[in-house]
Amino acid sequence: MSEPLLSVQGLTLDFETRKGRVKALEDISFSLARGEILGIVGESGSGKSVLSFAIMGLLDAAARMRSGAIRFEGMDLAQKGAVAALRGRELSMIFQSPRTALNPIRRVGQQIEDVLVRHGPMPRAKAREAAVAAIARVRIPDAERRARAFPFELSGGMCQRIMIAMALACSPSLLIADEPTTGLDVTTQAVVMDLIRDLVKETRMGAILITHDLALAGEYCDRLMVMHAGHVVETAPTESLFGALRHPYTRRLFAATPTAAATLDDLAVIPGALPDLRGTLPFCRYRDRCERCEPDCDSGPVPFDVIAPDHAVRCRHPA
Amino acid sequence: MSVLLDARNLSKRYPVRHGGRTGQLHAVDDVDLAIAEGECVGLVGESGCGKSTIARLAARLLEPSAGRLLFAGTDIGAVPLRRFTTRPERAAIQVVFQDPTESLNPGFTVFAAVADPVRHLLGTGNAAAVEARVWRAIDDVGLPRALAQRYPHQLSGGQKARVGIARAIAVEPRLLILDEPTSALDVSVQSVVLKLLGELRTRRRMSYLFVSHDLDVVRLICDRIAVMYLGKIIEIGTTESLLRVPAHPYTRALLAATPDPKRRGLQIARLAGTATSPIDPDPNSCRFAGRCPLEFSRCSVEMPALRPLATDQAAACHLAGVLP
Amino acid sequence: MADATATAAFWSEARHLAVENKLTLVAGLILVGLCVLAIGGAAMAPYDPLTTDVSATLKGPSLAHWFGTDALGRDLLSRVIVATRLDLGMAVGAVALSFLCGTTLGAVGGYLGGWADGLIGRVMDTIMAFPLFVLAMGIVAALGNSVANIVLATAIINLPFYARFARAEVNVRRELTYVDAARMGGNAPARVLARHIVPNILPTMAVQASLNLGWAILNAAGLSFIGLGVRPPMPEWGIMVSEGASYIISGEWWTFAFPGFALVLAVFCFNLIGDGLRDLIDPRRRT
Repeated sequence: MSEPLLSVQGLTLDFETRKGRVKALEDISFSLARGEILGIVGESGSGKSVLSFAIMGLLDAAARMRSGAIRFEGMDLAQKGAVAALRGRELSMIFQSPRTALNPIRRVGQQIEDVLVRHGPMPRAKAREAAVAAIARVRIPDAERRARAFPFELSGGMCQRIMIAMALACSPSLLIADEPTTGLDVTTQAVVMDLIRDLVKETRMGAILITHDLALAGEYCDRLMVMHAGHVVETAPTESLFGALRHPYTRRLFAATPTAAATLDDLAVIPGALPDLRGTLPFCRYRDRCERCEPDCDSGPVPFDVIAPDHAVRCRHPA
Repeated sequence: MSVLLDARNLSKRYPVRHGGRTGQLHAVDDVDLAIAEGECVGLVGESGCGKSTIARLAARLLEPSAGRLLFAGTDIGAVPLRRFTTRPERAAIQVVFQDPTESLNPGFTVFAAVADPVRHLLGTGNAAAVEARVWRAIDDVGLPRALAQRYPHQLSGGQKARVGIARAIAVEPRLLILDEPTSALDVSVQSVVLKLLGELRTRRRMSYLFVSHDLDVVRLICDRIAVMYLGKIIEIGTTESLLRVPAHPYTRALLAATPDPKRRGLQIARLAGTATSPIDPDPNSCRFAGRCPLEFSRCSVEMPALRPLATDQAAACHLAGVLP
Repeated sequence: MADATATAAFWSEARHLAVENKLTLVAGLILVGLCVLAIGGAAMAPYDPLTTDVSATLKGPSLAHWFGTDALGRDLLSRVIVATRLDLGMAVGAVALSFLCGTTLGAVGGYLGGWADGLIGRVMDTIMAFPLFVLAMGIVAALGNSVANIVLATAIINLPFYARFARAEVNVRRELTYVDAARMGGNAPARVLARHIVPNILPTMAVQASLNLGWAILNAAGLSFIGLGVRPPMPEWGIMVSEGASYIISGEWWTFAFPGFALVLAVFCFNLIGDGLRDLIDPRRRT
């Protein structure tokens, strides 16, 4: 593989707020190839959504990028206006709660047409056909008729599929899905996730799945990146990660997932809470919650060690 | 083990207008469900299947349209909602709600929130006795006493969840109804709350009705599981047997849809088709018809009844027990 | 202790708001000034507001009479100052009355629903069906020309505003699970409403009330302006504007300009305070 589709190098990002500087992301590096699904997993507050907003250039005014680079097909996305030109066409994003993301008083087909006309750019007449084709592509039967439906006439799972159709209408190269199945039933979740997986393989785009559910990410992603308090603590191809969970946090996080536990006694708990990202932080931000903590954990910045092929861990004493 | 809660032919229907005429939305349709003393029964299903309605019916927050609701032998379903507030059974049945933020009054401190039901339901009038009970509940859920004078907005999600549990157990209920108690919580908080609930159940000897959409969560804590689909219980059985040999095609689909890293890369057959409308459904057709992969001619002319199988379970499917 | 930190947080927020939003600060200072004048009343006025002086009628602003004098030679500054108490008093009284009754009616209707809600709703619709100022005029004309009736009329025409707002707020909260929890906790319906729901809608209702105060001042002054309610020689901004209005053509502008300005200032001040309060309660709406 030569040039990755997306590469993030040493990204450090703060928010300047009234109550001090929030160190939201520190030294984030990863890359994503075409046809690959990367799962970013972490609790709420781990920085996974901030990271996706940073890539999409959707951060609010209080955000300060201290260092690092975000490159999309070699292009620097941190450059002014660079993301805005690509967003919607090359970079696409789907959010949770599809109902609120769709315009309630416009037919779903028209909403997809709008995207095509704006970003295509495509004449309205052609966009109509393309919109129906886009709806058919997300495996919605009877696309012609569904295109004329209003969002409230469709179920939650159907709305999310429309959102995916809209995100994919301009054949983007990169799709970011931020908790795309939260609030959906498990059976619908499975259908939506199957769809995302199949479309990624079919169109050779790159995709980032942001989720708090390690089991879900494990089933659908090719690579996983586990985040904790603004750090990437472990990253590896899915098989090798589940083959050997090395970071104490990843181990705990998985053991705390009901899927992984045989009985209630087996279910692990993660002690403590995420540290306050304002003020001074220890070098290892997991230190206060960690059972493997040693005095030398605080001796300096924790190196992001590659401990197996393509498997890196930010820990001095990995399991 | 004696039966604590016994719902018989319980139904809840709502009149709705659609297409210019009025119909009946069958939220819960002729459901039998029994919970024994000290037992934990899980109720799972998709959103809109009626599981939360059953929880609210059992909690006497909703008036049933038909059926009986027996609690320790008394027909509490016959007591009008308004008068139920002052019945002794009010304290015996309590609920832990889904969203810990929405279920706490923003104007009440932790202490006041827990003390409110104690004062009204165990009206001894003795301030010291009330206080003792409140502290015991707060201690039992592992909430630091220092937080007792805080308001909900000053607490974390996990702490709020604990307050919701403390408030429910403070009046020493015999039946605790848990309505998706962990679905709004982060994984790390969820595991803590689940363990706490498991521990409280033995310590306080309560029965649970545990409503959830997540089979994996229910599996960890429940003795028996009931699976609902469109207002009906379509399969019920001991956790062990139901998960080992699910008999109903819907239960199988639910299990197959639960995310699991071990299934990575597998193409699994998903449920296709559209669900039947819950408004005036055909009483002679299986509710799952239209989405069922095993559907055959009999399914649309005869509603399958919940029938016991050789294993510790019962399923409402013509093919249950026949298929491998 | 928690209360102390909450109070401290409130004041820190208020301080921040005052610094960030200078207009709210200005309005706050005006409000303090108005309150001082309302409390001080005649004691702070340089002259007696009722004493006439035939030797000094319709004199323009001067060092002796900052706001000038009216047709009877009364000192306008003194009259404007002394009127503050009456004008603010009428507005506060009317708003308090409609706040109390409207919130109660709306909350009960919103919580109970059914026929009670329907009845309250229709009564409010009936009030709103009239041009409000005309209705107020009718009420004062029917009940008699007095300050108490101005307050009552202003309160009545304001009632639907509070009732509808309270109803909507209660309706939203009625569905929240903390209300179910209160029912589970053995609270009777009246208690659920009074102890668990209404206290939570009061902050937003208070914001509406303060926005409404300015309007109530205008309404009360308006009634006096057309000759209803307050009778001369009692000093009141509306009456003074009305008395001065006949001198617009002859150029004695100070007779109506200063009381009018006092009116504008008070309305402006209450509207800004209302906006500021709203931001304080709901920081999301802050721009």
